[in-house]
Parts: sequence; C-alpha cells; structure tokens
Amino acid sequence: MLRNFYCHNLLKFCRQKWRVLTLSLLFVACLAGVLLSQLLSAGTAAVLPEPQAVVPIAEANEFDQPILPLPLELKLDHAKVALGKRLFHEPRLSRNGQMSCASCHDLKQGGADGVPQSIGMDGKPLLMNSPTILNSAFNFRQFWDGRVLTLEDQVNHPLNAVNELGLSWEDVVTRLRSDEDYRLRFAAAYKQGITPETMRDAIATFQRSLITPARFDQFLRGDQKALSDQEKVGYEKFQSYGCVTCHQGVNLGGNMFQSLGVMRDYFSTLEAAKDIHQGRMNITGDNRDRHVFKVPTLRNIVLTAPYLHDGHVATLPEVIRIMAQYQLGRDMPEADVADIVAFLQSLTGNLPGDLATDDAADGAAASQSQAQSGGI
Amino acid sequence: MRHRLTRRGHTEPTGEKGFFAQRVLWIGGLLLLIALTFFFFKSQTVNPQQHYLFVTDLRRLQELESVLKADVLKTRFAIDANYDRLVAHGEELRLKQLQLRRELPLVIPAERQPLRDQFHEIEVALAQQSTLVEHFKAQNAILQNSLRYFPLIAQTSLAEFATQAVDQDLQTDLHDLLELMLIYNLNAREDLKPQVQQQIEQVQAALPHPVSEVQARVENVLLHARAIVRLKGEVTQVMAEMLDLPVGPALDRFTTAYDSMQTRSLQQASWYRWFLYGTCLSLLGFVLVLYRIRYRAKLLTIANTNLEKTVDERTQTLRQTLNDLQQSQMQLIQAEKMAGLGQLVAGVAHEINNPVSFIYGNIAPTMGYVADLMGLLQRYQTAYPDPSLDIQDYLTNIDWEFTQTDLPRTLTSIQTGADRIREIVLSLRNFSRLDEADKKFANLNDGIASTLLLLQHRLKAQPDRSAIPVIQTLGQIPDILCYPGQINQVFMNLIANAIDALEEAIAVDPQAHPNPQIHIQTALISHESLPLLRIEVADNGTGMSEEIQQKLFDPFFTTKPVGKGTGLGTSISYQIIVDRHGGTIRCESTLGAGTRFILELPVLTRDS
Repeated sequence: MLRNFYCHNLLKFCRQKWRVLTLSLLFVACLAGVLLSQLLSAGTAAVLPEPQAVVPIAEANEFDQPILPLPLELKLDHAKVALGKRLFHEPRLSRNGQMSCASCHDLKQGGADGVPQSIGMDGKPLLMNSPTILNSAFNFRQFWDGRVLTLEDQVNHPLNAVNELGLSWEDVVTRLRSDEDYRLRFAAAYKQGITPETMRDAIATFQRSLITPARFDQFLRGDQKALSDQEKVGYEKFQSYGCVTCHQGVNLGGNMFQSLGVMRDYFSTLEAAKDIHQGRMNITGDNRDRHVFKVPTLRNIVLTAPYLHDGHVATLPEVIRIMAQYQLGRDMPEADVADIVAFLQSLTGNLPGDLATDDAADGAAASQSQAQSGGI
Repeated sequence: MRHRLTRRGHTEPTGEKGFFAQRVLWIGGLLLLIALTFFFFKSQTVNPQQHYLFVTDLRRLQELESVLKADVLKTRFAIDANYDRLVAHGEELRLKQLQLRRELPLVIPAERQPLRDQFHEIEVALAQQSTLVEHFKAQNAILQNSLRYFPLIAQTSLAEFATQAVDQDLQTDLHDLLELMLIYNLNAREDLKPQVQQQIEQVQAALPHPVSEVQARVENVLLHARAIVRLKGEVTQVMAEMLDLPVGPALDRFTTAYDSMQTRSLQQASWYRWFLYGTCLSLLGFVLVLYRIRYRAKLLTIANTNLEKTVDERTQTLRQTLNDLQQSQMQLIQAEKMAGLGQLVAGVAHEINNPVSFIYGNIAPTMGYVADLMGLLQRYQTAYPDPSLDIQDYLTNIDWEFTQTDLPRTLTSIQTGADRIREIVLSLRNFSRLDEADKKFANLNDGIASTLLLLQHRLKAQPDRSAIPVIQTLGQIPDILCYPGQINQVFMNLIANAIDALEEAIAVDPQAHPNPQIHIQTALISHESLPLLRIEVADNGTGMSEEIQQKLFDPFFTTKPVGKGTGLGTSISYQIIVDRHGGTIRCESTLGAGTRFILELPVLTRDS
C-alpha cells in the first residue's frame, strides 16, 4: 500500500513533462559545462611564440672552422618584414615626429650612422656608438653591454629612452591605430592587430631579414676566386694573430663577451671610471665584468666607422693596432694591418634588393601627410 | 481497500506523501549531479598531454644541460673553433627553460609549492651557469691565443738568441720556462703553477736591464706566460664552478619528485574516476527510472482515456437502445391501436353494409311501388271526379298535390343517401383492409382516392376558409405488391399534414396564401433501369425550417400543439415505406413556400 502511494506520487511527479526534461537538461548542461571548462583551460593560447635571441644556424655543422658562412636564406613572413620595414622608417615612432629607427641605423651607411655617438632628440650626442643593425639577428645579445637577449626586447630601449625616440607604447599604439593603412596592414599580418607585441615582432622580423652575404661567404663556400690574394693573406693573418678567437662564428663576433684590455690595461689612457667604459658591469654589478663588452660583428666593418663602444677610434687600421696590442698582446707591422684591412673589406655585403631601398620610408611619410591632411 | 479508506479519513496524507516523494526525487537527482561534478573535477588531474609535454621538455632540458657542458669542453680543447654551437645550445636551453616555466603551473598545482620552489632552484642554477659560460668563453678565447702564441714566440726567441750574444743563463731559464709551460699545459696539473710562476720570476730577474730588443722580446714572452698562468687558473676555476653547480642533481631530484607526485595523483585520480563511473551509471539509472515512471504514467493516462471513451460509447449505445425500445414500444402500441381501430372500422363497415344493402336494394322496388300507387290514385280521381267531402278535406289536409310531386324526390334523395353510405362503407373497408393482412397487389391510385374520400370533410370549405382544392395528376400505374392498408395510412398522414400546413398558413396570413392547394402526383419512373413508383404530395403552405426537416422523421417529434399530434405520423410513415416496403421517403421544403413529400416504391408487378 505504501509502495502504491510512492508510485502514485512519482507518477504525479513524472506526469509533468517539464520536470523530467529539466532534470535531464540539468544533467546534460552540467556535463557540457565541465567539458567546456576543460577545453578552455587546455587552450592557453600564447599570443606570439617566445622571441629567439639568435637565429638557429641550420647548415652549420662544421664547427671546427672558426668562421661560418651566412645562411643562404632565412624563412621569414614577407608581410611582417614589409610591415617592420615601414615601422623602422616611421617618424611617428618618435616624440617629435622627426626621428625613426633609421635615423641612427641608416641602411645606406652600413646600418649605423657614421658618427662617434648618435645625436639624441635634444641635439646632444648620446653615450654610445650606434652598432650596425645589419646581421644583428646573429648577435646572441643586443647592445654593447648585452643587456637584452632578443631583438624584440631591444626595441623597447631606444623607443622608450627619453633622449632617443621618447615614446611610451601606449602613445605609439594610439598613433598607429588612428591610421587606417596600418590597421589594415597589421590585420593582414597579425590576428591580434596593432599591439606592442606585434609591433616589436614586426620590427624584429624586419631586422632578421637584414643579412648581408659577402664575397667572403662565397670564399667560405669554396669559391677561391672570390677573394684577392691580399685578402687571402689578410685572412691568414687574421687567424694567425688570433683575432679569430673572438671574432669567430657566422657573424665574426656577436656571440660572446670580452674584456677590453685583456693583455694590457687599455683604460689607463682613458677616463677609466666613466660609466660608459664599465661595460657589462653596469648591468651585472659583477666586478669581473668591468670593461667587458659584447664582441661586435666584423661584417660590414669598413662601413661602420668610427669604432669601439663610444666610437673614439676613427679608423680601421687604428682599431686593428689597438686590438693587436691590448687584446692579443702583440705588435703588428703596418703591412699586416694593411692585409687585415684588405681582408675586412671582403666582409662588406649587400642587402637583399627590396630591403636596401627607402621606398617604405617614402610610403610611411606619404601616409603620414595623408593622415595629417585627413586630420585637418 | 479498507486500509485506504481509513487513511483517507485522516487529513489528506496523500498530499504530504506526494510532496515528500517529490522532494526525495529532486534532492536525489541534485546530489547525484553534485557528486558527478565533484568526482569529475577530482578525476581530472593533469592533462596527460601536458604532463607528457612537460616530462619531455624536462628530459630535453637535462639533455641540453649536458650538451652545453660538452660544448664547453669542446671549445676548451679547441675541438670547436667557434662558439656558435655553444650559443645555439645555450639559447635552446633558455627557451626550453622558459617553456617549462610556462608549463609549470599547468602540471604542478599551487599547493605543491615545494616542488615549484625546487624548479626555481634549477632556474637559479641555470642562470649562474649561463654567467659562468660567458666568463669561460671570454677567458678561454684569450687563453687559446696565448697557448698558441707562447710556444711559438718562445721558440723563435730562443732560436734567435742562440745566434746572438745573449746571456746563456737567460736562454737556459727561458728554455726551462718553455719546457715547464708545456708540461703544465699538457698535464693540467695545477700543482705546477707555483713552479711556473717561480720560473717566470726567474726569467724576469735574469733580464738585462738596458732597454733592448732582447728585453722587449722576453717581456712579450713573459706577458703571455703570465697570461697563460692567470687565465688557465681562471678557466679551470670557472669550469670547476660550472661542474659544481647543482643543476644536474637538482634536475634529477626535481624529476624524481615530480614523477612521484604525478604517480600519486594519477592513482588518486583513477580512484575518483571509478567513483565517477559509478555516479554516471547511477545518474543514468536515475534518469531511466524517471523516464520509465513517466512512460508508465503516460500508459495509465492513455488507459484512462480509453476507459472513459469506452464507457461513453457504451452509454451512448445503451441510450440508443433505450430510445429504439421506446420507439418500438410506441409504434407497437400505435400499430395495435390502429389495428384495433381498423378492426373496429372494418366491423362497423361490415355491419352497416348489410342494412345499407337492404335500404339500397329495396329503394328501387319501393320507387316502383310508389309509382304504381300514384297511378292508381290518379285513375281513381279520374273515375270519381267528385269524391266525398271527407276525402276532399283529407286531400286538402295532406296537401296531396305537393306530396304527389315531392314523394318521388324524397325517394330519390333516400337512394342518393344510401348510395353514399355504401360508398363510405366501401372506402372504410378499402382503407382498413383488415381482410388484407398479407401483401397484395393493389393500385395506389385507388388508395389515394379512398383516402381523399375519408378526408373529404376536412377539405371542404370551413367558416374561416374556402375549400382546399386537390389537384390530382395520377399517371397510369400498375398494381404493385404491398400492404395496401399501411400505404393508405401513409397517404392519410401526408395529406392530413398538408391540410394542417395549409390551414396554419391561412391562419397566420391569408393574404400571403391566396391560393392554397394540394397537388398529388403519381408516376412510373425508372431509376437505374429499375422501375419505381413515385408519389408526390405537395402543398404550398408554411414549409419547414432546416432544423425541423432534420428531425422530421424522429419519433415523437411534432410541431403541433400538445394533444393535437402524436409525433408518430411521419415516423410511422418512414417505417412503413422504408422498412416494410424497401422504398424511400424524403422531404423537400422551403420555409414559407411549401413542402413536398416524395415517396418512391419498388415496383413488383404480376409480370415480374
């Protein structure tokens, strides 16, 4: 009898379709929710891949050779390269609207600017000599003191430095987002659109495309005729003097730090206490890093005078003599200096055709004037 | 049942129980869902894919760490002539470390902070290692140079000194230094270091003081010798520091700890998964039970509906049967009544027939005799022109002259009356036809005639109306097999109804019906090659509404005032025509224009 009662009431309960449906739906909804949350937690979408400090050298197997040829090609997104080139020449990336990355890193001047220290926004020289941006993808650290690892990270410093480009990322993003052309270009290259990350990525990608294969690379790949006899002799001396122990690898440098004045005290003749001469110690605070700088690349070295971290050495023979005396602990006859200079000339390479031109800069200027007239 | 009754006597326990059962059901379902969710989350440890990714990355990190050390050794002993490989592996290690740092929160829950700390230790060690590698690279480069250059310049100097007049002691000391340095280099014996330094000092002391070519040369040799001693020591120390770094063991410890954590949580999760399966099954069962109950409820509802429908149908049938029975009863009564009446009429007619026959039969002789008597009296008057005064008075008293002329007329009148009585009796007999209980061949035109005769008194002019003319269009029709009495009864009903309709119409509005009449038609027609007898009785009276027409043949349906009609006339007519004779009866009526009854009877003639 009691059972009958329950049955009866259950029947009454179940006769209302919606109740049964509700319970079933609740059940399904719970499962769906759990699954969905699971899926969402699994999909932690990284916006962009972690930037790499050095371009991996795919074909470099012969590490018993001190110098390796530049890779024949780099696989880069062409749209990003083009966008990066545009940004690189974009004056709107400076507070006063007159400077750009290219102001200090002129592609026509070997990726540097030819003065001891670049001129800052206030018209006074900055502290350090502008290093070339050519082949900078093969530098394992950026800046003379190697303070950042990646090209992406590097972009922050000149942009945000008050006396250089002097802008915050918010400013830059606001400026570029108001430009229809940039919006479209970014949308085509990045699904995230215009963000500090995508801008950094574009500029860094452009920089990675700036590699300059030279006659010396042809020589390394087996073309004996690529170098003149004097250049070959120069290369021999470059090796036998020991220059190559630091200026080695694919970029003839750029993959290690070295103290300036290992054999003799170089800074006895300079103001040794000046901050700019402390080098990497400014970053690490380690006394062992005093006067330590990143070994610069020697590619295109004849184009990027003056030399050393503050550009206080005007000519190439001069700096070669300094290197021999203070770094190698040897005296170098003038004939050998001349041979090595000859060899270094074979390291001057060419940019890929479409990158050497300034048309992107023109385009950017045009779009800027267009934006201004639109604003009026 | 008794139990239920006593329960019902209480205050509605059914409702409380129902509420309780619903509660139990809801709470049960809810608990199951909560349990399901709980077990689900508990059984979800770490995404296995992420786990394997992490473990793989961890292994790769370990591998890269060893590779990096190998690379350091390769450059130390000049197997690798550049640092690109070392840098590439260092970069790979850095990226791997970053990747692991990103993956870490996904595979190690926040409550396992010690394990996370352990990973942080590894990171610190790796950072130290990276710094040491940089120092190594810088110092190693210079060391390689000096190691290569020192024997070269030392030997060249010795060779040159041998040909020049250089102090023999200096040459010996320099030679010893070169030898010592070679041993120091090749054997990696740090215990030789003081000896080398001592030898360097000895050479330094043996140097001639005046500035000379020889002195510069030896100074240069000593510069590199000192550099070797200094850098070799530093490189050795850096490498020792690098080897002392706890990266490898820390990684091993971390891997072991992570593995055991993973094993434990996997085991735990597998338990929870079994619970999850159980809960899933229970929930499935629960839902199934719900649906089953719902299904039963549905079945019950259907059964209920069916039952009610069946009951309704039965009730309907019973009501119909009752109606039929009542109708049959009334018809039986009516038929009995009519039969009785018919018998009575027939009896009366028969009884009257004989006396009427006497009268009718004797009138003719009586008229002859009266004529004879009249002749005789005339002859007496002629023979005796002057009768006695008594006779003359008598003649005057009886008004003989009038009697003489009126008597034959009276007799003729009697004859006419008797004739009519005979006719009426004949009609009565014809009408009732009691003597004809079986089917007979009869001519329906005759039936119509006798019916009309019986209704003559109603057709005559009344005080409030003129006579109703009956137009008869009677065709040549054959005798048909039928119950003539019953057919006559039908005619009687139909014609009487027509008269009623006309009287009603005249009573309502005489102007609207200036020409009331009844039209009777008979004809032999053919329907689908079957001969049919068609009889139409039409009037131009009030007509009937649609509603009334529908109920026309229902028993006890009447439009007449109470006491006037039985409501059986048309229904009996219907039964007679349709049931008894297999014919059809239908009615065409327009309100205000009149009614027409159409009968069709199958023809069964003597020939067929």
